[in-house]
Amino acid sequence: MYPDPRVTRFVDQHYVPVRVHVRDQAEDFKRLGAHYGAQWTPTILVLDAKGTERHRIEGFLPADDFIAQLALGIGHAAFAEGQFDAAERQFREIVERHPSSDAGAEALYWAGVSRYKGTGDAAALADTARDFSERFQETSWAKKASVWRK
Amino acid sequence: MPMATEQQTISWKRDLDPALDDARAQGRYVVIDFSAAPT
Repeated sequence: MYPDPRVTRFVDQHYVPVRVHVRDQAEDFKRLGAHYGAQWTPTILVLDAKGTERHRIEGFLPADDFIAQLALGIGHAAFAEGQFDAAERQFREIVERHPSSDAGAEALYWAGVSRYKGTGDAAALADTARDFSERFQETSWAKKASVWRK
Repeated sequence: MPMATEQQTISWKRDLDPALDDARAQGRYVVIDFSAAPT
């Protein structure tokens, strides 16, 4: 269950929610778990409307981090659909709203990629590498962005 | 007189296919929770 009302609100506002319980829906869990490779609980997947996985969250997280991960899912889904402007907006909002979460660093990286994909301007990547010199320095995302430094 | 507080809960669906139909109709994405939490 999600006891934090902020999580409930976020899910209600942004998603169509489905729960598959390991015991109460054992057959569904077996079938869908095999299909999506979910072998542990909790595993939370963001799916697009065709049922394609766009983001995966495994294990419990505090509410703030969990909301940030759910928000990442929206960004990744928009990115996969080629909606690069919408994806960039979503990722930048995560950076600003969740600056101390792991998701913030991932969002900053993908905001830069979204801008690049949407505009073709390589400066988007160099700017992102520079942003990482000022925040999220100790993350794997900063290391990934380091190749974009000019 | 104390006021009752209403606990908002998520209206989980149990079946994926109707949820995907809803997602298409509403322009949303689906979040699917493989869970062992008490129901």
